[in-house]
Amino acid sequence: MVFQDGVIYQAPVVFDNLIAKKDIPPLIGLFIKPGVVPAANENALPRFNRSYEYDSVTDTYSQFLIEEFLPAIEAKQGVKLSTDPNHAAISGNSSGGICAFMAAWHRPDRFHRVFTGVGTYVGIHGADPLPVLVRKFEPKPLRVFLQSGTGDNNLYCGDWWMANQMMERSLTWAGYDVNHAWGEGGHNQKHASQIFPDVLRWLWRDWQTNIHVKANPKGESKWKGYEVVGDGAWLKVPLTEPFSEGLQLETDSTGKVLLLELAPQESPLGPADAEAETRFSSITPEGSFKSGEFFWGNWNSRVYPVRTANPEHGRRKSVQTSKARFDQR
Amino acid sequence: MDDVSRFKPQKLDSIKDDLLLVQGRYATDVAVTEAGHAFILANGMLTRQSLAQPSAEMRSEFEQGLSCITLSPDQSLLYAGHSTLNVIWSMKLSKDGLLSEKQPFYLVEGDLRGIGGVSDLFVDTNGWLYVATALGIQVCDQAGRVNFIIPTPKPAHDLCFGGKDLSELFIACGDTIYKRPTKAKGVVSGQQAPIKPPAPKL
Repeated sequence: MVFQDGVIYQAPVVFDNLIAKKDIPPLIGLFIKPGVVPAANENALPRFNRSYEYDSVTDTYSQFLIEEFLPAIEAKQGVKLSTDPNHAAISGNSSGGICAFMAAWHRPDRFHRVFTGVGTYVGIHGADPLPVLVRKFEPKPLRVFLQSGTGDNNLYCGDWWMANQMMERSLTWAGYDVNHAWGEGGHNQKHASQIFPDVLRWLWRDWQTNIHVKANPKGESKWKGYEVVGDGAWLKVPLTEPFSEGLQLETDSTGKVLLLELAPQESPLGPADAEAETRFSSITPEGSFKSGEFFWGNWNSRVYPVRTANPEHGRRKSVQTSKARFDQR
Repeated sequence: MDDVSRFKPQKLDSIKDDLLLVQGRYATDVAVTEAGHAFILANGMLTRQSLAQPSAEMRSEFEQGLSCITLSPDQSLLYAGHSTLNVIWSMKLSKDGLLSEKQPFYLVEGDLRGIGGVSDLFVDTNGWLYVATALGIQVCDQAGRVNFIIPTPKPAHDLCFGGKDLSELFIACGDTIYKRPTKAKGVVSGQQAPIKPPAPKL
């Protein structure tokens, strides 16, 4: 379980007690402090990166944590951390809270359990739209506990107490496994520390019989996308030939998908801007891949599947863009 | 196929009947109506050409910076996404191919890094607009509202419906293609008669 801002909530003591009682599984606690860029000289201020790292909603911190920090800890301590997201939790207080939530949001393949105390779900580095994005995004397999209260921050960038309630209502609306504790305390760790053992018991409940955290576990999500894509997943389409980056997809009314790829640079017949080759392969409506055919045209020509019913233009097979207009690079 | 035959130039006639060739620099997208109006996006600019009167002069309809175009299922609106803005314009399309009532009708969610842009557009028979963005596939209703977002394994630069009944959603992410079954049905305007979608819930 990863904590931001170093040791919080007296976690080591709580871990020892709850692990001994088997209320939670044996866990490794990782307590990380935010970065500081050292001052350039004695008369200069260090750059304090806590807000930059923690309040951000980008995937930069989760990438650092998972791709750099955890492997470094494994190497230094000689341990092997499980990569099963059901085995991992992440937590933080205040800005560390939004940081923990975003790490799990971006990387549900590594974290399924989240606890945030007085989480900073406000407009510092763009977290204020999160309650809306939680409703619009396909639900993720996360179990989330939120703590805040009436005395939480109410500042230039937002209202923590309202923002936490909006997050709780959005997560509930979207069918997440979510719980909360609202109190009357201020923007500190007191309430979160008091409830931390119970939070851990809730996050790891049933761990001995069912360790898996699933998206929309009760089937009560109101996510609009279920009406269109159900609870399926993206499947990688097997291509028997390699394609370059930026291949283009077109479809026709039979459901055949054309894969168009332009390869102008390697032409042995002339300069790159004179002629170009378009390779068009296809995926049949039944899903099988058909190898490419090749077509030569002018540089950056494009071929589109168009079959018009009107006989007046049914034989028309090419149109020309205005060279004069588009010749500018 | 060996390299020599692969590079043998082919004539236009060898193109299949159901393919339209757009010749010219930087042509990146095309939308064709049943009435034979071809809208072509090239160098970020939108132009129009009539398939019935190919000699007609092209007209510039739009400013630069566009990234993708598509038609509404009833072929009465042309949608145009922008390469750096989170906006998709909607324009009314008359029978003679003229555009009017241009409005930035769709506002999609921006990338969490604050980087905007729309990569590709596609519609289904309900008139919902599927928008490929860095954040995922954003799905807008007929009234222009993002209703939900389907995350993608990597940012998708292209999308289309295909497969049986045009009900599978295909995306291109770099050099990889993914697909996902849906309960929707895509529309290929250049090859289908106009389809009137249901009215949105307002």
